Amino acid sequence: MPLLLLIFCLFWSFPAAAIEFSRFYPSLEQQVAQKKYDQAIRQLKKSKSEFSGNHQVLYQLEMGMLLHLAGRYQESNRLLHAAEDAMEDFYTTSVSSEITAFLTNDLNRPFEGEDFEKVLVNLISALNYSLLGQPAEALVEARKVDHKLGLLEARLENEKTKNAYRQDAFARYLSGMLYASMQEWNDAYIAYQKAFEGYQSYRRYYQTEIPPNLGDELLRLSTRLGLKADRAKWAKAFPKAKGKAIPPGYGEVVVLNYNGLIPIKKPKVKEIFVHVLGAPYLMKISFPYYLNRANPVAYAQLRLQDAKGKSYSGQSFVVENISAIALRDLRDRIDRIESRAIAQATTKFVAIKALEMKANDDYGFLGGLAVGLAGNIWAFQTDKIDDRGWRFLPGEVQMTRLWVPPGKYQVEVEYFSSQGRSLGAESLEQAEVKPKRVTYLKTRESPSSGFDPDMRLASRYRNTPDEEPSPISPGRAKSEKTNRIELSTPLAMTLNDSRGQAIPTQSQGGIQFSWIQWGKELDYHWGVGFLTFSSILPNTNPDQQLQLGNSYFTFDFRMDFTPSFYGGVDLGLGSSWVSCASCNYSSQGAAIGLLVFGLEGESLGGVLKLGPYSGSATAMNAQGGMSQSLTWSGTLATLGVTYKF
Amino acid sequence: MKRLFFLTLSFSLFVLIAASCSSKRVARLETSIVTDLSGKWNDTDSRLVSENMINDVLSRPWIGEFRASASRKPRVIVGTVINKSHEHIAIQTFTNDLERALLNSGKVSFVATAQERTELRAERADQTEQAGPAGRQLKGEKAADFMLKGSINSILDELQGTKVVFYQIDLSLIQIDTNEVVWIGQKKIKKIIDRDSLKW
Repeated sequence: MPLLLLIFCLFWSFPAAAIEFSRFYPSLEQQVAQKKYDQAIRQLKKSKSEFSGNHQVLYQLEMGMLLHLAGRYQESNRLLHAAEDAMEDFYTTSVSSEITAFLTNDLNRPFEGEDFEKVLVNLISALNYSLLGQPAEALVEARKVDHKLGLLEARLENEKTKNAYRQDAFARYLSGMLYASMQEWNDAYIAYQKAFEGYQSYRRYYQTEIPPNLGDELLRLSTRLGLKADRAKWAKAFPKAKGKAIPPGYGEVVVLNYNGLIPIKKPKVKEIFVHVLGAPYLMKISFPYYLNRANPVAYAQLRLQDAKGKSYSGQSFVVENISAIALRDLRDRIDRIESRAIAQATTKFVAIKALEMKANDDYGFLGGLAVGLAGNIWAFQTDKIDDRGWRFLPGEVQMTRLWVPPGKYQVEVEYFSSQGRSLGAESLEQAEVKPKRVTYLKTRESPSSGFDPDMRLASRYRNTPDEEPSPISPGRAKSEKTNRIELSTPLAMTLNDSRGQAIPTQSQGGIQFSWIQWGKELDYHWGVGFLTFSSILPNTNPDQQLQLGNSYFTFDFRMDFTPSFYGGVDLGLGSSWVSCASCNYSSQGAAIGLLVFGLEGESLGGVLKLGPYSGSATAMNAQGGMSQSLTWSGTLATLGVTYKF
Repeated sequence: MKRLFFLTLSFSLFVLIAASCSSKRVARLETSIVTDLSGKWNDTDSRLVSENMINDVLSRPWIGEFRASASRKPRVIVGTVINKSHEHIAIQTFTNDLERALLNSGKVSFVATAQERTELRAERADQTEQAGPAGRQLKGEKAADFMLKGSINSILDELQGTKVVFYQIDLSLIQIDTNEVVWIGQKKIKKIIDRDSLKW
């Protein structure tokens, strides 16, 4: 019985088939690429319940980013702040979700985000505040970035792991800009200096060049602050920079360009040998790897035109290559991820083997086989990588800065490929420049911004999976009818006589066969089956050894809970019988009701049934004289396999 | 029969638990009660800062000195208090407290802030236009003698689930004509926030 309970628990711990991220994202990504942000927000909102529980933070991040793109900065901040608080609460590890995750997969852990995602929450929020014209608040976020990265570094030193992402150069560069806009020259100078250090390591790890105008900023500020030695140092470090003073009364236009898509996590299967009780077994384990997605845009050209037709232009430069940071981050951590995945898979494997052996001892070969089979199906079903990630982040953030006289400007951005070929242009909203003030604008490159209108997104981002975009569909594909056959064998049964007292049994066995038609449109399915099983009662005299049996025709009903988890009932009516070597029997009625839980994969699946049964029969001795009426009842548990065709 | 009884019992228990979970409770609190929930800057911090600053600013000699030389109440304006901390802090709650306490003490008068002034000027201009020059007098504004400025800084230290937050709030009162600092107020707040590493 404890074994039965354990198996039952395992089935219950099976993930209520999580949202299929690979199916869910493409359509949303297409809407984002077409700048239909409000539509994307509505669609994501509809799917909020799919993200409940463990994926809540992911929802907040995705929604926060979509709202940012849609220009709803305050709402975006609300969600990003909520996500940040929730991420901090994950410092407290939930033992229950860890156990569940270890028995299934990491999708059953709360999504807490990669390190770089935790930092980018604050960076996007800082951009929100910048775009809202609140530099002081944006700087609060930039300080949080510094604090988080400091913590990260301390933690990694503790774990003795190497990690490239120790500082966020863009956060510091942005801090410099924000301090300067508040005329806090000292702080601005320090921030730009730190940005210079940051971009030096960015150049080493992420092939990001130092922003060309960083030299100008450093020269200008060291001049303003009267730091002659520093000025000479910067003039040497940036030979091309002139550090020309900004004409008095000018204002600045800053355009943020979001280019490309962030890499996505895909599973990769590795085969490794493990030793269980001395014997080697081949185990297949899935690991995540990042699939990089091409970014067609190399740089953008910004053109500002005032009412009189005078125009100013500037070229964008990379400030943060998020794709490169993500790829490197995973590379730095892959050893840890792999060892965790191996530990998880081994735990499952050993647990199944142990259960199989126990069932083999208790219920014979068939029992062991059934448990082993069910265990393997469960292991196969749960072998999934944690492919969650903040997918609406751009692959890259670029920036263009232009100092212009105050006034109203038409803003145009033209995108170029790395070969210098124009990819098209788009107009942004009109910008109003005020003296000594910074006007922030943002845009995202996209096929609908005037270029490649007929190109499909999939071919545009070379490696995007070419699945057809589809909304979330929790049900299975309902276009066709499928048939299912189930073959089950009793795992355990109890037997009581008519007075409710337990009847000891020597051995038990039986079989159930069912055929079920999985309907076209309905989530309800029905079928028919045949179930027979018997118990042999112990008796030292083989002639008097009594066998009690039940045979039923069953009517089977099933209902989908999730795409791979279903439940239902089997109700049966039939006849019972009693036999022994020296007696005849006459059959009488019997009834059964079983609760059914099942999991299914592509074609194979497992099914567990549990429920009460009853029967009564009359036994007569060989002479036909004496007769004895027997009535019994009990509970039956069966375990079986299903096959879909 | 017994089974039915248990079934009914467990069902009613379930309903009872479910009902008690979903209900909302509201209780009123004194504003002086310390309620620390997340460890972030909250009303208690704001109140502690304003109480401390008010006691300090009113007990210092600058008011008396100004009255002796100018023979009128000093006029003060609230400038910017820059948030240089790690948190989004509602600075206005304690600058408002401070303003109210100073004004109600009767020793100081206040000039509206730059933003309020702009709004008032527009209103005055409008009233003058609508009601004629007799209605409102333009250019009758009084200049402030002192400006209240300041900053909030924070130092954050964190290791393995323990976070120490240290806030330092500096306010200074600067004489506008002479750039003389006549008063500096400072309040320090230190908090320790512990997180459990495990939960069920």
